[in-house]
Amino acid sequence: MSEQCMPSIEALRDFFAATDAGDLEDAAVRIAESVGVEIPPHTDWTTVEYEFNRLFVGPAAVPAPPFASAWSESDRALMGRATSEARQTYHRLGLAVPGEGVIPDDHLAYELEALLVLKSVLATEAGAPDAETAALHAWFVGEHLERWLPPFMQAVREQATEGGVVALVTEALAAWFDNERNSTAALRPA
Amino acid sequence: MSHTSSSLSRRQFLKGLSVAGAASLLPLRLLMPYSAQAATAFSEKDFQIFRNACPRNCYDTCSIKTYVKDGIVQFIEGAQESTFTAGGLCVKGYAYPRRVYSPDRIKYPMVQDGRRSGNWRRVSWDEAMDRISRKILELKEQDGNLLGLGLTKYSGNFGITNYGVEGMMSSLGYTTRFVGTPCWPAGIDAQNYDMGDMWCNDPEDMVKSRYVIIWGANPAWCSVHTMKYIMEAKRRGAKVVVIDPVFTQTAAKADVFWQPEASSDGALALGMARHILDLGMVDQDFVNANALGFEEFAAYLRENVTVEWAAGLSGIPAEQIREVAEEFATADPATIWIGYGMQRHTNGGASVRSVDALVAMTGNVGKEGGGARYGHLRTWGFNYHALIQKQPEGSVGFIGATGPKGEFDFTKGEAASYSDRTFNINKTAQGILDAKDPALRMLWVSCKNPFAQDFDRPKLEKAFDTLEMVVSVEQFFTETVANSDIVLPVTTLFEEWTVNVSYWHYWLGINEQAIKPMYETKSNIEIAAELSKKMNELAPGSCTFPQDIDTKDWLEKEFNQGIYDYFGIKHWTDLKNGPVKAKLASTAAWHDMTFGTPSGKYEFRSDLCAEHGHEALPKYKEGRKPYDEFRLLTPHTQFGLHSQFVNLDWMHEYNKEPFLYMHPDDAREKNIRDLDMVRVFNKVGELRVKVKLTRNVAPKSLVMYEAWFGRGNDFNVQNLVDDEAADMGAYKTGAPGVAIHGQFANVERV
Ligand code: SF4
Repeated sequence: MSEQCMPSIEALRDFFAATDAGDLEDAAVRIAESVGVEIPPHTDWTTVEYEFNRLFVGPAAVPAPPFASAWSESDRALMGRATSEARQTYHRLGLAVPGEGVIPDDHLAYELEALLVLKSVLATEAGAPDAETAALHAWFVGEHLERWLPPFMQAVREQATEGGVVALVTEALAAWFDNERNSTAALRPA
Repeated sequence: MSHTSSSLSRRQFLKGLSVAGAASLLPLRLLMPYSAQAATAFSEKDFQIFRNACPRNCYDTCSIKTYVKDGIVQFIEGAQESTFTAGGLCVKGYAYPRRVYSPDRIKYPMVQDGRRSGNWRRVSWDEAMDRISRKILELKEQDGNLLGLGLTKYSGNFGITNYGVEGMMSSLGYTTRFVGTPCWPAGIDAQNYDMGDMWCNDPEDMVKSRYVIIWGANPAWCSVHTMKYIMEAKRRGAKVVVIDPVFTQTAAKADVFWQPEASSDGALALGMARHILDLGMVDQDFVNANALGFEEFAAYLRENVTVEWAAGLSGIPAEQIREVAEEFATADPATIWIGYGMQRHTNGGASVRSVDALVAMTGNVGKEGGGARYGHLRTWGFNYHALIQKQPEGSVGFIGATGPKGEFDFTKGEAASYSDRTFNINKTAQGILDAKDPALRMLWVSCKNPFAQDFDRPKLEKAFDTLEMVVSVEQFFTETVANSDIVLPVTTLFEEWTVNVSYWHYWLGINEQAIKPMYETKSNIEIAAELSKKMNELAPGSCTFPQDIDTKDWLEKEFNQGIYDYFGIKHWTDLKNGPVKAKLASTAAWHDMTFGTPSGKYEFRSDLCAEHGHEALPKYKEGRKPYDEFRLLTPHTQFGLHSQFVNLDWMHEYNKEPFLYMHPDDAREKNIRDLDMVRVFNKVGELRVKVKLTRNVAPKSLVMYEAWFGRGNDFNVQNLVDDEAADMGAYKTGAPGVAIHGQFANVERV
């Protein structure tokens, strides 16, 4: 996928932060547009909502919890080291999750928003980007996200309806992540 | 990319960067500005320590110390201040951080479009409450009362403020309540007939016992903290006898193990009593001064009981019965721990009375280190502020007297022209199906998982299907949630204020809120407040539950001077320094020989018992007649409390799948090999499960540990257990117990 047809991080963030069918539709349409893919015709957004909840929200045990901690540690629990990493990254950016501790800081939507901040900071800096901010970006993508996004996306691929909206979004996320990883690879120490 | 290749250490990265302010340039949606000074520096001394208490239905009710850093529970341990908890928890307790931080927790209020469809949508608390309130108002309007609204709740969370769930129901009006207990009611009644209350010695005084009989209990799994007292008694020379139809881990530590025919316990106790009588080893001082009807009991024994008869019924050789009886009568003090398992029979209450009689006639009642230990509620003298709520003005209810609403109901004595309608909790399915004028149309479930706990699961599903709305308040997705329309996420022990006591030991512990409630979880009383808000918004005056509550204030309202005096504290905040123990005049129950019976004495002959339709004397009562080839036993598992904990990853590590345990001789006859898949079936239903062959279970019995859920396995022993009543329980708990172990089934290879 070329740079032009990268999904917008905002739209990915909004998809994973969705609370109902309307949110999902709004975000998915934007994602599909940005990557030049068609939303399957006759998509029933309430059915997408059911699937989204089955995979990511509950109330039944979720096969793909959208939290870094669930995939980054030796065991499957939230609020672990990966959560603290995310929290500290936000703090370094002068940000925090509202009501810290209520929703684990390493929810995918928060992490995508943090990425958005990092990239904007780098893009708005005049001249050569600040090396440390660039390193933080590279670390967040190449280590923090790298640890959990691939297994997370794999779980979604195994569980999501083939050709459905969640699968489509997951492929968009995968493409974005691949690109992001490649573009930051040079900055990561060998 | 390998992580180790990175030269950018985490520490460097954390210190090295600050791009604060960048955020103000961006249209952020989720994250908010943060000022950088606090919280990121690491300091080992930086834990906040909170006091918690295990609120599960467990003898041990452990006091917990919770270590929190950055608002996250890091680890927990047992409180050292309690000599009972003694710094340790059980495997379930240590897994608590796995509950609060499980990715599988129920996080949001959700509605299901079609029960068991799995089609769930998130809704706001406001919308959830709106749907619920409208349904309640519809019921009230159509039926002219609220008896169509039912509550089923039991022991999922024994924190005292959780009685606010019952309070919430009262605050709406007169409703239908499932009363009684599946747990221990037959034994409660038995002890009330014999002694006038259920009251046990301090378990810590078991170290003084010279002889310990553990009868139908498995503390090595279900009360691990009591094991240390038993083992210490043993170290000091006591003999330990375990009587159980299964060779348990407790049995493995005993000097003597008896594996009697299940439900023959009464005969066994009476056989021992007869032998003691014959040898003239009765404590005459006790039976003359402090008991009623001993001579009649002795005459019954002489005329109806022999050791050989007891041996025939129980399968325990007469010689052994004589030997243990003599040793028990000689040891001073000697004690029997009456487990809840042995009274889960159609003759359970009668059996407990026989065992009580054995302890009493040997003079071991009222003695430190002695006692017929069953349980107690002596430390439960709270205000029940959350529980006691007034019905709205003009509420219409059930006409007629109502009995107690369970052993933990502390509202007695309120005379009113109307009352709640009560159904037997042990016949939930039948109760729902039979309810008329009005029918039961809506059910609120909290602190309970009826599909794992209530009997005759096939019938329960049918019954649930007749309900128009089911609301479950839960932490995890149980089968009951799958059969609900709305689920409301409830807090864990770390996220709410409450207070806990035990029905076994004599410690009192506070449960502090250690972390913010995660996601959109609320405590039971906060949920009640939310409901009240919405009810009053839609129909002013329709709910009396306070709408604005502070859970810490509500905790405080549970305390009174009586509690402070009993535990020797000035204020509940003293409990922040650790749990405290009741100031007991003696560790022995009934130490002053003033019994709570009508005669004030120990009653071998209880006229009250006869009035209630049982025998006046602790006579032998036959158990349930077999109706299938094997006896079916479904006792508690080591890795859960009913269905709680079983789904957690740490438990799964040890308890990967459920099994049927059966004797190899039976298996051979049925052409079943170890680890075969089998079908267990009876008149109630069937289930499929893998079999493990073991001589730990008696021939002609099938053993499966109760309750399982999660991980795609639909194993549920309640597919095989019917709702046959135990003999006693109605007197003190409002409904008879249930013959959980008076069950039978067959098995075949599939
Ligand atoms: S389940 Fe029982 S033994 Fe385990 S921590 Fe809770 S109270 Fe203690």
